[in-house]
Amino acid sequence: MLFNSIEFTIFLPIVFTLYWFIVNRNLKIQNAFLLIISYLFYGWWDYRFLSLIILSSFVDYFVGLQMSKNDRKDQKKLFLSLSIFFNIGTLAFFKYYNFFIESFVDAFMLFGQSFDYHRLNIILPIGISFYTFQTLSYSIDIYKGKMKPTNDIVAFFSFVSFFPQLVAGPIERASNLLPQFYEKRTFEYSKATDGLRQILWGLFKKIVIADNCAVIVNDIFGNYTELAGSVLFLGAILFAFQIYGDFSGYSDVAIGTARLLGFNLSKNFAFPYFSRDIAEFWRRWHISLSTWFRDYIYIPLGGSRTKTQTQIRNVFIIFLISGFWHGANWTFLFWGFLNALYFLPLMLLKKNRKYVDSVAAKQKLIPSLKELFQIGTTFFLTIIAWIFFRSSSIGDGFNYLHNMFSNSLFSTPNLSTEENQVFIFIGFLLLIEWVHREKEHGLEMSYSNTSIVFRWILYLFLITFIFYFGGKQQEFIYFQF
Amino acid sequence: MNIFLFKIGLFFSILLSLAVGAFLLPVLNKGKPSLHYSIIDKHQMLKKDSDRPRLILLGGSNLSFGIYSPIIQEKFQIDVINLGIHAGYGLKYMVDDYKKYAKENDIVLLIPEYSLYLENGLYGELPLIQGINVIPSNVKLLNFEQLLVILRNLPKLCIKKIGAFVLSKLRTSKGPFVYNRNSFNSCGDAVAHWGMPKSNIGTIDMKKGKMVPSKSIKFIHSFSKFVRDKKGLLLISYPCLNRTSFNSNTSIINQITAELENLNFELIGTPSKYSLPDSLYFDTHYHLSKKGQIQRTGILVNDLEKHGLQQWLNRQ
Repeated sequence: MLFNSIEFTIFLPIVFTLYWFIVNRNLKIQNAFLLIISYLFYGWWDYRFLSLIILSSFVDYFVGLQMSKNDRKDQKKLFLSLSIFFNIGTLAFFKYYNFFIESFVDAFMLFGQSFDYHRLNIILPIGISFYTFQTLSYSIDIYKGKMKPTNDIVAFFSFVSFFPQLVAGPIERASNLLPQFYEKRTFEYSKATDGLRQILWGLFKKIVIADNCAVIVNDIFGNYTELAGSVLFLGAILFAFQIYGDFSGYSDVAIGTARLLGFNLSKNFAFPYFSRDIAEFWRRWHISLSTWFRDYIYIPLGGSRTKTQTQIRNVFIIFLISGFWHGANWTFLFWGFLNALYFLPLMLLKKNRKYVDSVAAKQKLIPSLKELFQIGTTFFLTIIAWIFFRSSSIGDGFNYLHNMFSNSLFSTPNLSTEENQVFIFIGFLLLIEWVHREKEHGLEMSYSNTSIVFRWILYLFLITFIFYFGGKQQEFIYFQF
Repeated sequence: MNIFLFKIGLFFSILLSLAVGAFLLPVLNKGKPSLHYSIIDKHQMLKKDSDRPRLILLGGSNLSFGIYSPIIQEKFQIDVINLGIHAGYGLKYMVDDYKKYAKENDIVLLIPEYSLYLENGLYGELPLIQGINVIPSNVKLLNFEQLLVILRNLPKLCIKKIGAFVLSKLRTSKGPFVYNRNSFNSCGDAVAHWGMPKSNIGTIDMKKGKMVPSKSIKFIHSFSKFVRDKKGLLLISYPCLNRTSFNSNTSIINQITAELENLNFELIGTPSKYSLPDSLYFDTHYHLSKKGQIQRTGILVNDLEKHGLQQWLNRQ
């Protein structure tokens, strides 16, 4: 079920009503209800893969309990290995099997060896990269003694399959989300209304920005050999906003929906295109994944508190894995590699933590020229990397760049009305997000500062935009990851 | 919770009131009843009794803006009713709307735009709801997929109508406008644009539409049975896509043609024959100028003659 579908528009109010008015007396029943509707939400796409979620939940539930029963480190390690083997193994099979087989055969063909192989017709279960990481973090945290395992099987299964974030994150840590299933949820007016605002903003980003950009981007990347450099440059910019609108829009709807049900999910995006360097960008883009890699891979490898060579190795490992997480294609790996190259100078010059707790033009409306230049440079580097992310092969990515940086880069692009319109929408998005860049999301408002008339007119305006200018319905890009 | 529900209820009541109010507004185009109302006049033509055989032109605006029916009437001594209004109604709605008025021995010349063979072509888009808005009783013609189209486009229609209504109050339209109810002649051909300055027609890229011709072609197949049962004749021909658009979409057009040929429909002409030079178009890639309309009708008359329409008429 897509968040931007008619089905979800009917599903959510029904769930909300049953959740707060019918099953609210008993916490266990409320959790069981969440579990059932989460499975219904997932099964709407393909009920066969529900068995995989159930199995994944069961393995980590069992592993968690076994680790707590065994005091011996080697036995704990054995159970952790079981969890890692199962989760990574499932992910490897469904997501990477064909890629590994093909790459293996290609590599041997370079030396004149050829093999017969069978490409499996595997359907990638939606959200597998998200929920396997979520369950893995639970087992790792128990192993490290950071949290205690749960005996409550319904709460645990509900945590793994919690429908707002099941298929595209944010990737929740058990330490944040699981305890929320143990406590009775009470309805909070401000939380619910803010959740609704976040849903509205997320839908705007997805339907008005991403879906409209998608049509133009598909056209430009599909015909890049015939188009002028200036058009290709605009195509790259539009893809940057497509993927941002798509993914951060999904996260906003997910977080807002969870808030309607009394849950707090982690922030996943913090206005990344206002970042002043790549390190800041990575602290603001897909935060739940970046922090997952930081905590479970980068820091265990020694992080930045080690020799320079090891630091460099760690940076490459983390970015390459991040790229590979997105899919079984060399383009994603190259995207990760490019980001590692961008990040490395900052780390070596010890400037990667320069903008940890601040935002551009803090408490000012207009950024300084220096900040504007930094934001522009970071965005430019980002879109160069996005070109490879979007291209079907690394070669295509380089050809796109080559055609983009040709003499026609400075020609005037001949844009249609729809294309001009999309840039106006992006301008609106940037304006709203710039104003709210110190808040949790683009539409967070304080009641004391804004009148109800202004707010309601703004909501009507956004709803009008969503219905009137909404692009053709597209699946969320991150569903494929 | 009570305040939350009250405010949500109030907000959605305002939204719903605006939507209902908008839906009740007339479908305007620059302050005048839009071309969608012309269906009422075309229904009157269909209801009219006549001793002469009749030729029904079924399709979108490639027909209303692409045929000058008096030429056909004169050539074959038949009544021609051009039902073309908007391709956005979808093929199914156009056909079902005609079926209500179908008579024995009708000759139906079906000329769908190429988009009607692609995704959304069978069940329509926003204009479908504008058509239903004009004749609400036609809602019973809709199936589940078309109702979904209506549901998806209802908010868009309301916003569009409010915009058109406000604009009509703010400024009055100067001079003639071609997309209104009174833009058609007594056969249903658009003629109000004759002599008006041409505008940029642009090109269409069908690669953007998902290729699903089979669905529409299966539907045409079932319609051909309906026409046969009425002892009529179903002929299928090709729309007048401008030359530039035609040349850049040949592979899709070839696929559509191949599927039509496979089912042994009675096909009139070839796609390339009806693709005219861009200079003969008025304002879009399917809307011809006066000269273009007359030229295309001439080609069609020749093809109908070659196909043996006169002989078929003589046999009746």
